[in-house]
Amino acid sequence: MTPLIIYCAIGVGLLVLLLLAVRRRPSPAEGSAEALLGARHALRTLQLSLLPPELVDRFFARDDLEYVFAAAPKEIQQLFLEERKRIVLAWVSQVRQQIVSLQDFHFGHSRHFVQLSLSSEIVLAWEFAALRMACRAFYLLVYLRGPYGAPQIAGKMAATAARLCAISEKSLAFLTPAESRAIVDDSAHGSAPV
Amino acid sequence: MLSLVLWWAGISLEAVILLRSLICRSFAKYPYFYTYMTCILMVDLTRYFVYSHNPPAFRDWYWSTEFVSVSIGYGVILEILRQALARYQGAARFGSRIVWASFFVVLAYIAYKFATVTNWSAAATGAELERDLRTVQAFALAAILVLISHYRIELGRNLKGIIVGYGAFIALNVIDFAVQAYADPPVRVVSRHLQTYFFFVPLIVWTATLWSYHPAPTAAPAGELGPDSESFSRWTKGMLRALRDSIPGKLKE
Repeated sequence: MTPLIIYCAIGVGLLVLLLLAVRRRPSPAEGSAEALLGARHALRTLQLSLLPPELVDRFFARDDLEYVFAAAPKEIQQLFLEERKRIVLAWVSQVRQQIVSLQDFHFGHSRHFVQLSLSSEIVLAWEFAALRMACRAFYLLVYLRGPYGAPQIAGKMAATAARLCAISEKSLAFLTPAESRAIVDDSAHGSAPV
Repeated sequence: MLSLVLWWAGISLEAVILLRSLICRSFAKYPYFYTYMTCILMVDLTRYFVYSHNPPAFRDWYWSTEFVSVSIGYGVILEILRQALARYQGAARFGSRIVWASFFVVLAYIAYKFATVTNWSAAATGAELERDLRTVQAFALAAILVLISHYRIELGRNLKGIIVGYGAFIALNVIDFAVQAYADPPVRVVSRHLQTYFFFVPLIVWTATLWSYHPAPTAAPAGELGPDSESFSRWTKGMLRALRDSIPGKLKE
């Protein structure tokens, strides 16, 4: 019976992979200004809109909670918790979305390199997956335990956001080929899609 | 009577696919695939000839030709690899390694079979051999599909059809051979009846998707990229580290 299950699992697995490969949305054109802009946008969004320490501090600030619980009636307290939860969940979703954008950008480009290292690619695939899973787990944690159910968040976020900013800055120059840099810069400032 | 109708329906579909490839001039675009189709058509015609002129010889002829059709099925996998990954040199390198590895596994397996099987029975040993060869093909194709999904490679309509048709055929065959070997008798009877129709799945898919030639989507050449792969990987790793650090501490414990 076991061999039957194994062979059936192989057959069904292949059918599932077929479905995934055919249905998966293809990556945008590689080397295009659009792809570079996408990566740049993802980095900028993380850097400026999603991970600044003051923003993260504000999301998880306990003094807000203490103030509302001390001064407001029960309905307001409930409303405060619900809204804060909704904001944090939306924030985690956005962070995850930008990570997926960066992942798409990496694999959209790396597939072209002749000297692509299998081990490097596997490690990166695993790291991206782990990061996405962490976001999912955090989402679940906030969903189940509320925005104040996962402590130590604000400090960590604030401490590492600066590091991310530095890396992002370097990467913007590093990622953009000389000939397309001007186009990307112009279009980023002028908001005109290239 | 029904089996003869199905036989001729299959041969007709194979002929239609080949005829369309000549009319649309797509034979030269997918040479491995259409060579496979030509061989399959030849195999089916010779089987029909043997079946109608010398029925006792059919069983042995069937298994000999089946071995040929399984072997040339590698041509379809090569075609998928060539067409899907040719524009992506890094991914293509992984893909060709996988195909070569599976090819050597097949060779080693066949050598092992010939060395160890003493009482050779065309039907029993042939079925077992085909099941295992199809399983190796399933693994090779699965690995290529993982590459296609992972690198989000765009597939043209023709190539999608080739992949779906052949992939579904291999998957159904692996399941069917396993059922024939290990399931209870009533299930085997049902499976044996269904087996007749399995080859229609790819034939119908191929007829529909290869009716006309659809060129594969084009991609920017690798020369337009800036950094080398190592620097690019290093950059991504650095960025990931920073991102991971910014994910709440409790989740990483």
